[in-house]
Amino acid sequence: MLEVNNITFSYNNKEILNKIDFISKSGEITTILGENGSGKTTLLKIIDKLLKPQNGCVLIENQNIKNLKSLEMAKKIGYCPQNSYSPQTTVFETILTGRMPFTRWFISKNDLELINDTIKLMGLSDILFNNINHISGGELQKVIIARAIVSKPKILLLDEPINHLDIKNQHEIMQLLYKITKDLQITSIIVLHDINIALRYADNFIVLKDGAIIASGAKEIITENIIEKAFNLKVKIIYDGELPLVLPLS
Amino acid sequence: MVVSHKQYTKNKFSTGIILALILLIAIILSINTGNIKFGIFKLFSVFFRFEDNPTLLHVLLNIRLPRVVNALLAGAALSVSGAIMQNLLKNPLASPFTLGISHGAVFGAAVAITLNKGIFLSYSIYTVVFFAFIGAILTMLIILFIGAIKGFSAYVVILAGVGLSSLFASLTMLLQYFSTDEEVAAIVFWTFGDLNKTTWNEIYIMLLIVIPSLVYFILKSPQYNITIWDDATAMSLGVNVKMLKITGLILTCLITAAIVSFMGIIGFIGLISPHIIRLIIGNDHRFLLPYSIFLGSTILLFSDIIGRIILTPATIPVGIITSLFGVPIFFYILLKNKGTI
Repeated sequence: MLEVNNITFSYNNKEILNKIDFISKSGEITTILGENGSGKTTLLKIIDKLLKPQNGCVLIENQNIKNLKSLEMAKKIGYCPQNSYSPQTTVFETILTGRMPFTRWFISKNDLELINDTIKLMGLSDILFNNINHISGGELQKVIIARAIVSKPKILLLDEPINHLDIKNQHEIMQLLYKITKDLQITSIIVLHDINIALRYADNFIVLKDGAIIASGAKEIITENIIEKAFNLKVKIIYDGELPLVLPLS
Repeated sequence: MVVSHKQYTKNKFSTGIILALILLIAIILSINTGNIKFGIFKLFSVFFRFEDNPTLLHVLLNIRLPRVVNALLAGAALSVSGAIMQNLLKNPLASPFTLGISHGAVFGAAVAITLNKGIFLSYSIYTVVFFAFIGAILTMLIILFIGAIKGFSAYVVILAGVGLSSLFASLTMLLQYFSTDEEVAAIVFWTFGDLNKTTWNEIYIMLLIVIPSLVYFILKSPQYNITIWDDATAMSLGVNVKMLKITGLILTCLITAAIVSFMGIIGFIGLISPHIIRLIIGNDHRFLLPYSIFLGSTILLFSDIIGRIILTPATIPVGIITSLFGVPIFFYILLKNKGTI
């Protein structure tokens, strides 16, 4: 379980996040929505202790992350940042780096078993020794997620994991994340831009506007008013059975 | 496909054995190059004193072996330094000389050579080495100072290095402009990288600087496997990126400074030996760093052998040969190989 209590963060005297509070349980996907610059990535970085908030605290299973060293954090949290840089390395070696918080110089049998399990789970067997620069965007995203989950984390943080992917790959990745979250009972926090995809796969929603939460809770909080407030965009919500669909009006 | 550790490392271990054997051959050939030839048996019997031959022992211990040890030291230091720079600065063009260390050292040497007529210096090779080392360390300190202000961003560090290179190159030219012909010749000659400039005393000093640094880099190689990614990823995987960058920059500068100060500028090795190894076995630093040491030393030894025999009895400095013969071989590997840098 992840608890974010009263987080406030400023940078260069500009307030980025203001009194952020929420709880996310194991086996649940919480998605963070909001326009560009609303503080979504900053919030993920604070949860992963990559940034230090001025106020508030983050608890992972009732343990304040302030008291955790970076290696302990790496064992508890799998983080997939917005992908901007792919070095020259292979799929296997990328997943291997995910075990580094546990391994020292030599790779143990247990590490390899976990790596192999993850490779099977993510369906990456056929491209194992390919250079990551020579695989598709969807495959690369799977590799990045595999690296994050190979350490068996309690929390999974994903920053826009389906950006730049085609519709098939978007759903494939989200289905995988849904399965991982439920099967491994991980707490997943995902920053998404596509509200319809969020509505389809997430359990909980946090909507940010200028660094503050303007709505949080289950699917029902995503209303036409909230979306207009968050994105300055008029929308209409229609229903396909139980599933809400957001249509922009203009 | 299920991966076993054996499967992953098999190719890497066999590459290591081949590289080590080629290095051994290069060492034996280097010892045997010159007017006096040693057979392998002769070599061992003289070295282990089974045969009492003071002349051969002198040639072996004081002429041939220092050359070999210098090649091993410079090859190892420059290759590892290049691999670490390429990693930390996330730039395939990075080399031990990217940060301007060599230009700082040349400027230091130029100061020592041109001011030797002054009142406070008596000119000796040690003075030149000392000033070169100070020049290189000064460059490193300026880089660290500028880097610290900007959070050790790779772009800032690279640009600061390029700027400092130009600055020290200009200062050296300024000194040369006001120097005598002999002094200009001495400065130019000093810059030629050569394995024959040092005796055991200087080698011991280099060993003290280079060996602990290499051990540090090899021990930290799992962390360098992570820092090939962006800083946020590396930090989230538990790496203290800032500390690793600072220590990496200090140690690479230090070992490069030691090599350049004692042997002059030996280009190319630090840039390409890590790249060739990457093309063969990939980017796992647990293998990349030791294999770059093998390859860097081998290239230097063969270049030195070529430099000694090509215009006998004259010897061409190894720094000239490395680029002259090495670059075409590098291009061949680059174009032939399916892998990418």
